[in-house]
Amino acid sequence: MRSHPLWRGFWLAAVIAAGLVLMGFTDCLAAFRFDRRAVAFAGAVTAGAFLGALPARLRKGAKPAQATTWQRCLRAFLGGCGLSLAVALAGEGRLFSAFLTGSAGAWGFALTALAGGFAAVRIMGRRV
Amino acid sequence: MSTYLIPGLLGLLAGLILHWGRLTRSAGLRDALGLRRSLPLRTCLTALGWGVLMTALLMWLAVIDVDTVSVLPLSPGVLLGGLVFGISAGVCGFTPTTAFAGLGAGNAPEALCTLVGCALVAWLPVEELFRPLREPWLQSTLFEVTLDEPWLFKGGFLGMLCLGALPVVWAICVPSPRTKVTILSDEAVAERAARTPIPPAEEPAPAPESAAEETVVAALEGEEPLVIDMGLDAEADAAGQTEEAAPDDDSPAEDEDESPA
Repeated sequence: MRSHPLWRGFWLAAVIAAGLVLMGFTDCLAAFRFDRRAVAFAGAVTAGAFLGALPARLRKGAKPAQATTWQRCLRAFLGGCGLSLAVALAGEGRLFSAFLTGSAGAWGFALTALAGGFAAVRIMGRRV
Repeated sequence: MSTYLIPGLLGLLAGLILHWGRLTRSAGLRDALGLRRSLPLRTCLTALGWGVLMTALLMWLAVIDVDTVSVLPLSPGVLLGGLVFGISAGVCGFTPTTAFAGLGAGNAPEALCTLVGCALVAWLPVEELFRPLREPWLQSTLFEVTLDEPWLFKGGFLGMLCLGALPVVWAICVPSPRTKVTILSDEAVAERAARTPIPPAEEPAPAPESAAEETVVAALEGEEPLVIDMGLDAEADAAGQTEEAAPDDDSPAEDEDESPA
């Protein structure tokens, strides 16, 4: 069942909704403010992804798909700075939760983020 | 104990599903943001759609207390922040949550650099600098889902359900990723051709018209003409073939070449 993309999205949404009910948020940025629940959530996300990738790694060996260069790392660092800066601009850490509950500001944030992301990806070209 | 247990379990599940949805690598999120037909795009759309649908349902069932819902006001800072967030996600290929997942399953150095950048700015006191940009223009929800907050459109939870259904329908309409076609270079084609020898084509049967004098043509009723070469002298036979074959060059093979098809 997990092989179909619609079901993957469904289960991801179910986890997010459960996080909203049980924790009140699903944002990982709070981990940098040392929120204990956010730290636990973020650490478990890393562990879960590692466990998910483990069978493939055992089969193929720990060979990265793409070589990591310092340019890619610099781009990732600058992008990370931008992500935090964007949340500071918006002034609210729980943007995704606000999006799910239908807040007008969060939907404005999401639509402009989609427009900005689309433009950035198209300008930068295919799979930098 | 529950402080760590519930977030830990949910985080494990979220990490697994993010990996299955191919969102742990930077190329996956870039494909989704670029609206390229791909598995990450379909996963993101269905997750957003189902998320809104489920949240609306849980709010309607009063599982989520609507009094505690935080309403984010629309302001210039929010719109500018969204733009910066989208551009940054397009540049680095991660959001904070997928960066944590990428640390475990994707390109770990890039995900680590993203998280270092996030942490650095999160610890700087930049939030106060942007306070003038956060003057609210509009503080409301899209539909009437809370008790006190103003709303923009009528429809209540049904409107939220319809809004959530839109991305799901979009995801269903997104066609499957295209099959990857590799175009080989001329050198590669020549190398492959040299590696696998082409078997020689079978010689076509000689036509009855090109038969030499020593050839007996036996034509039976209702049967294909049977050509029997008597071949008394090999040299005479070869000479006779060259003489006879010259005017009869309109062989079936050439006819095929000149045919309109």
